[in-house]
Amino acid sequence: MPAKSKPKKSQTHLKSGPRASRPIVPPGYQFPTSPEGLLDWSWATERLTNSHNYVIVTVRPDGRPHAMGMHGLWFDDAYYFGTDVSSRKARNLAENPHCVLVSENFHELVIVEGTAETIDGESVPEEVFEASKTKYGWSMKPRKGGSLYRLTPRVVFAFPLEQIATAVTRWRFQ
Amino acid sequence: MKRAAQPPPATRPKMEGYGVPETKEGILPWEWALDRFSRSHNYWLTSVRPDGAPHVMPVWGVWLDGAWYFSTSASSRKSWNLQHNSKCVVCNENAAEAVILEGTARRLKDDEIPQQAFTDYQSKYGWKFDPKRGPVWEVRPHAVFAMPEQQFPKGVTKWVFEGIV
Repeated sequence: MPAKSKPKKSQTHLKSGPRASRPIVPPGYQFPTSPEGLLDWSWATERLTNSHNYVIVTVRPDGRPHAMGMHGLWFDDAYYFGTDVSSRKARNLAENPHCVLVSENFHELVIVEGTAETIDGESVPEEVFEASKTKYGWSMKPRKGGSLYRLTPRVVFAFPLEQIATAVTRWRFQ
Repeated sequence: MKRAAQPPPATRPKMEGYGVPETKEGILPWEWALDRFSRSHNYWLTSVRPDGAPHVMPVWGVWLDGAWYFSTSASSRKSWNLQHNSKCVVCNENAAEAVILEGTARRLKDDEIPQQAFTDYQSKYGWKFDPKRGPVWEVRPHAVFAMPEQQFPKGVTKWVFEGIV
């Protein structure tokens, strides 16, 4: 039996959603270390859902990062998007599924690190297509040459600039 | 703010199926990107971890004579990543008028930092650009993309810097 260890003070377990903690940054940044002021996961999901534009970052096979603006849907702790199979991001993801998604409002910035994979239209919840119609006027159902992707988060960061001294938050998924 | 003497050539990115015209109709002038990028208060910088996963963090920085300057702690994730792989992406803060800069970062020795970068940083942020707190890096662009939502797809523009900056 391992010795009982005290739960880390910088982490709180929320009843639903991922575990909230502080990002690890160099000491000179003066980021908070106590859990006081940590944001609720709903703060991030609300902003990820409502973002109109997103930027997705992928990595080319030669190691150079690539960023491109796009539309997409955040639904049930995952991000859904479509892209042409010949696009740079699709070719990058085929080689390396690691990617980063960034929301559009810099003052309430949300950064999602995760992996993206292609999925069949049948495994996408119908609500995603419905939400896309409402949000962008098209259903996201792929056209010829298009593919659907689901980005599964591994870790999410929130940088609310006006409350940076208390609210900077990291959520980790198991 | 000084500008590059010769604007880089404007082209179209390869984006099949999005209706980006093959002609130069609606293509943006370099000043469109330069203004939005240099005036951005916040930026986010993408670097790549040694295991190949990208990493994005917000940073402050200044554009000066064809390059972008920022500073970060020597022990930050982005610093570790850039020492391993100097290729990076820098974006402005407005996703609806996104300017995406792909380039190479180089850690500067103290005597390589342009004096103007100290002055510009101080006046932009009211904060000292201090290489003793965090080494200063210079990012030189290979390519810059403009993705203006309101002018999509005609305004989608790519500037290529090879051999110019």
